[in-house]
Amino acid sequence: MDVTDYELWVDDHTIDDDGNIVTLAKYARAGVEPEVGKVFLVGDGEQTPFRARVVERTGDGLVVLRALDDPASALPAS
Amino acid sequence: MPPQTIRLRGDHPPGDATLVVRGGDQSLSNEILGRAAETNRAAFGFLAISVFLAPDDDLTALSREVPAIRRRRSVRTARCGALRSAGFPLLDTTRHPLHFSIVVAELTTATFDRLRDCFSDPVTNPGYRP
Repeated sequence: MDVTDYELWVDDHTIDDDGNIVTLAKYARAGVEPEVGKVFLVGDGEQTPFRARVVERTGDGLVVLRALDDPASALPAS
Repeated sequence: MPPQTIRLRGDHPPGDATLVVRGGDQSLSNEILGRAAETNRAAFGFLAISVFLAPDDDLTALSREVPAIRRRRSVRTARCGALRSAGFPLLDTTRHPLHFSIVVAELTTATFDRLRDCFSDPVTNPGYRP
């Protein structure tokens, strides 16, 4: 898979309190609509894209995603 | 999604020598810094860039804990003291104990240049796992 094969751009350093990745709907590729429950390939053009599920979308275009390929992506074990 | 208020963990501020890490070769480009900062503003109410700390400069341990670092062949690093000296406060945001936000006052090339000057050139990430 090419690093540019993502549908939705993310900076996966940007997370919320639950370890979910946060991005903006406007960073989706043309024709991609990040709706809650759907799974997309996300990436930034540098790392290999990975799958993530939209768990929340706000009216002002904020998109919250849970990475699927790495279930340990949330918080470190406590 | 959290409310747009700045909620901090209340950690002791990291020492000046503590290593700050951002994954990737290109993650400090103007475009990516702008996108990342705008995302932070929309989510949390202020312009910021998300980074992680690497206690004891241990990139392997950090990579084990943080997918955003583990997925990167290379990383760029800075010291907390260098960032503070350059006028970039570090806030202990989210519940992740190693996650910090570098606050940026404005989305300008001059600000991004100043921020990039705090960071190393890309270095190989010993904890890289694709």
